[in-house]
Amino acid sequence: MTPPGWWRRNRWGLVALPVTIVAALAASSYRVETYWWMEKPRDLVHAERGEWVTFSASQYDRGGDRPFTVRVRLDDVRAAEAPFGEDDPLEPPAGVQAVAVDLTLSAAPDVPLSSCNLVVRDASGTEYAYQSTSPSISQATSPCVPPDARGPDLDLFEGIDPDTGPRRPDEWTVSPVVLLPDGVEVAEVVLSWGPPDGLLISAD
Amino acid sequence: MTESGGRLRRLGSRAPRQHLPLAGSAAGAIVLAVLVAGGFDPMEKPAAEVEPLAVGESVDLGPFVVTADRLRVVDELPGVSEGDDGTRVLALVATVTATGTTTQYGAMLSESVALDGVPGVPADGDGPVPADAVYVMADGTRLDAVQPGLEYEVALVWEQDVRADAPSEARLVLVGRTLRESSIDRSMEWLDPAPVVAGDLEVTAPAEEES
Amino acid sequence: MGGRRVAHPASGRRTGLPRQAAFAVLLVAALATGRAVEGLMPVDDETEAPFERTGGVGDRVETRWGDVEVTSVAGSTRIEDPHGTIHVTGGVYVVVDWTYTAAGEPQVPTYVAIRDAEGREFRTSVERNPYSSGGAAQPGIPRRVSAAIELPADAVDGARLIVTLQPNPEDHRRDDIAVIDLGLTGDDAGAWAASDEPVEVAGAADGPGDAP
Repeated sequence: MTPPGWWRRNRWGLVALPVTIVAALAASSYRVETYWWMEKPRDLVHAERGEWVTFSASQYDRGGDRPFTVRVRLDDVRAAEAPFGEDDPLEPPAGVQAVAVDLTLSAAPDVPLSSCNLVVRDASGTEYAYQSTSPSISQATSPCVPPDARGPDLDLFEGIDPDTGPRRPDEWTVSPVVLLPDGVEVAEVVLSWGPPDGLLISAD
Repeated sequence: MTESGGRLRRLGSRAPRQHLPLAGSAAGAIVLAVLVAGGFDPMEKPAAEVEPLAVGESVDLGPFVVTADRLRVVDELPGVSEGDDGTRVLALVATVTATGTTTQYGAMLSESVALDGVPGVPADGDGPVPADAVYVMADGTRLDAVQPGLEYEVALVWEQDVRADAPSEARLVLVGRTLRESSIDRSMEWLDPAPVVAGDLEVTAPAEEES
Repeated sequence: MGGRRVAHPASGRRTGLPRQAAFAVLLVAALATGRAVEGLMPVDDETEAPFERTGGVGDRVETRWGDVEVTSVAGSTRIEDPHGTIHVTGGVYVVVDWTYTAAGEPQVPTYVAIRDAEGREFRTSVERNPYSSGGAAQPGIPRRVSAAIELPADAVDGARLIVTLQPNPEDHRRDDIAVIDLGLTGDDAGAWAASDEPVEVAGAADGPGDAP
């Protein structure tokens, strides 16, 4: 009788090996969520310019999860004439263009939507963010709500009233301005109310 | 419910008898290990020896070397008590040097120098009150970073309520720190603040300050 | 296990124990050697060291997170910060004007320091060592910034500017840092230590500026 071969003697070990590798990788990948998945909008809903898209996600504040639904339409990406929500003239430095992103949004007036991020991307994936203050521009803090009727804020701090004043209309348009180097074409607009969820609208 | 209860009872009747010697020897081993390691660290550590304060003598606090020079009452210090009738300012004039090879921030310096038991100087809790801020004497601006290798003549300031009398003497406490590995992220940090030097210092009133 | 042992010939059993013992000794010896090598060699320092991207004044130093270019270096015992406040030092203020161009996405270099020939690092602060980044810079748009740092006169000779994103030096591991030789000498230190003329520290601005 020949002694059992190496493969046969170690068959249970060999069966367990892939399982162990997967388990070890899973156990050591706990940082992937915090440092990669939650770092930027990764779970993107895709849409085209000129079409309405319904976006549902969740924010959270002192009261727990705040699920919300908002309808968004990208109308245009064009050369900007004025900063968003400010009367100051727009004076970008040499070599810099100011681009306005025209968006129409619609949501219930009691939904907090002011804490959102707007990013535009060029064809190579380079990202340019909406900035309310920078050395070259000063504009409204939130790019997605009307500056004079922001609707409620998230209830983040005890003692600060989340109600910000006038009722937000049921449908509104915003034109946040993003500064880009001359010659850069906007390919995509990414809107997010907190990673990993986001809305990616093609600007073509 | 009854079934699970029954199983628990069955386990309960057998398990302790089997595991008692094992648990006993495990507990014994733990106690022995703790004793060998020197027992538990007491919550209240005995206060380290605090040296008496000497004016004009440099004290090594770990991140800084501080020499206390004089303590005085200041009516007006630009930016601190300007036009404020409710408080007066006690200022310790001192020289400070950072000991290491990198920038130390001013907050740690103001936390290292404290006044003890002066009425009208508000404390957050019990014990000595750290300085409110540090100013550079040469230009009157706030010292928010102490660069290594430079000597600074500074004023460490405390606000005192004017309803309390200006003290003629105040107890100054200098707090030292130790450079050790942080147990959280294993980086080297200045930790474990503890008084190193303490003593009474004469306080000069503004009128006497003519020199 | 039991089955396998029975299958072995009787002679194998006799030599089995010493062989197993030898194997155990070898294993422990190998582990101990590895531990000793790790302890003696600067493994952690080497594997966690940041990547230094070096250059001189006027060079465009490329890093993972953007380009850094030092445009001018000045010095004095006095500076005027962007708020108009005068600061006076007992050493020397070194004022570095530089341009930062972010890569990929808006980013902000928060760790700005001068490293001297001995390796001491003098960092910027809010008030006494003013540097304002102007916030995150959009990629491709040059951001002109100034940093003024006070240091002892003996640190000027051979000083280099250090720029990177993360404020905590612990987080510089395996990341790019820009290391720019400012081209300074002891003569600069002497001249600046004797100068009372305040050097103006500019606030942050976008664009190429008044390029010559």
